[in-house]
Amino acid sequence: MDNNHFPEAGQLIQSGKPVHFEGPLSTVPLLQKCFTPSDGFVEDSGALYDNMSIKQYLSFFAGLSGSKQQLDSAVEQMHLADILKKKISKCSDGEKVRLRIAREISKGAEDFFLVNPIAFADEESKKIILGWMETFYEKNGRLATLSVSHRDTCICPGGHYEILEEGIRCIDQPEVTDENPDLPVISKISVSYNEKTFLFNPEEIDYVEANDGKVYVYVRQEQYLGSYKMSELEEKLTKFGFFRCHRSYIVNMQKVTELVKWTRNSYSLRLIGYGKTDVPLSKGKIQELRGMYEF
Amino acid sequence: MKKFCTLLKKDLWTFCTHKVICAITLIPPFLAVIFRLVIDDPDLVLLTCGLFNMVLSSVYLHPLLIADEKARGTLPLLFRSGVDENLFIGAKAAASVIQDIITAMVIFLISGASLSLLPGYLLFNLLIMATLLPCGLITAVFAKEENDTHVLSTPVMCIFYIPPVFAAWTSIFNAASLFLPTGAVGLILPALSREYGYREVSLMQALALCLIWFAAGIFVLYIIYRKRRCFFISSDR
Repeated sequence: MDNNHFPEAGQLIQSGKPVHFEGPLSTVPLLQKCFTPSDGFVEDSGALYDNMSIKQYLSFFAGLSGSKQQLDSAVEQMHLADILKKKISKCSDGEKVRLRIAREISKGAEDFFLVNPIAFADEESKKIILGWMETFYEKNGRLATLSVSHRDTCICPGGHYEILEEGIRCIDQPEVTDENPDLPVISKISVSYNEKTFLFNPEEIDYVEANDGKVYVYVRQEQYLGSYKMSELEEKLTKFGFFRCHRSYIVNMQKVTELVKWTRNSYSLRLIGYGKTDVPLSKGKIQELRGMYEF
Repeated sequence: MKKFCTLLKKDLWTFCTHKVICAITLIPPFLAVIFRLVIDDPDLVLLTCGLFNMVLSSVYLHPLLIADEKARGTLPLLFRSGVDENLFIGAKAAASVIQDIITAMVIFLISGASLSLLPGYLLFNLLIMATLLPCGLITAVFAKEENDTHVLSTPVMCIFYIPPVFAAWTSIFNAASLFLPTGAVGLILPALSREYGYREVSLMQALALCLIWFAAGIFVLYIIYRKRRCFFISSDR
């Protein structure tokens, strides 16, 4: 990994807006260098005393940093008041992440760096954490996150970037497309899987995702590698009831069952057969969707 | 001071709540009960179980406390929370000493030995703890997690414990115990000297031996620190 584009990451973090990176965990030490040791760092695993209760754990770290005044605020921000006496070993993954964030708040940190902050299934915790991230628009503090999952990166409110070998790419920017000659009307979409080529009717497709420079087509909960660019697929599939809900996602609106609102600026869509898998919905696309479906 | 007390309180609480550490801490008193029932010789109970407790606390439990933090991934977190290595090591050492003294008193009461031996016995405990804590720290530096501690500490424990206990029975162990700080157990158990033929040890001899071992431990730690610039890699920034 070339270190040259980490000053660029540092500039993005300094911009004041929450920034969310998609990248491998090996980039954590490099991104950490954009923060000082006194800033909040929330790891994605470990660093917990399982035999302690949540209250004991927070009091311990508040005692170490000498700032017990922040403890109540931390508990309130992470909604931990009801589970203060719960043993950490019995907490869900989402509660543990909230506890780690509360720990950093109770230490008096104003700037935060989180690793995989919403990589768990617990919806309530996701909502609390995303709501807390939203508050950074009004606060002076800096917030940066690193997620391994493209989906999780896109759901977080703020700027979205992908860390690649060659540099940092903004996921939010519109794709630069070549001028296309008129494409023939095709009602089959070709995809590949295990060196085999499949042709699907558009109605069979659940959603399309762009990630790591590739396009993936999801059909009946199976993932296939698409042969087209996102813009091409958007053009082909719109007339079949598909909607480009995000820079990286096109969904079949026939398969959408739920619009999930996490915060004022963070939404996602849920599809039939995909359980709690969230397809991010951009802030800019919400109005468009409202206009189309009158809700 | 406040940070030290916070860390110390947490470490003492770990002795009570961490299943493995708690179980190991209770082994010497448990053995003392067994020995008292079987042998009913206070001095022999103090020799076997009391000495076992001293060696266990300094060479086994002390590094286990540190390895537990490594295994949980809490070391980097503690260092980010304003705890430096000296404070961390100091708190762990203090917790080990307190645990040792409490367990030592329990063993003393179980043994039924004469109360006149208690001050000397506790002072000897402190002396051995101080001498062997650097040894325990060396183990902690190299152990990545708890299993490593079990593997590294057990032979060290055997070296410091077995020769003094069996010194009266074999000449090899008798000779070996001359060079070990725990071999000075005859200092506090003169009754053993008379009955079991342990060599008598003067206070100066015992102190000199402990000082040599302590200095050796500190020297090794100094070499490690010079090479690594820290004791625990995660604290290096």
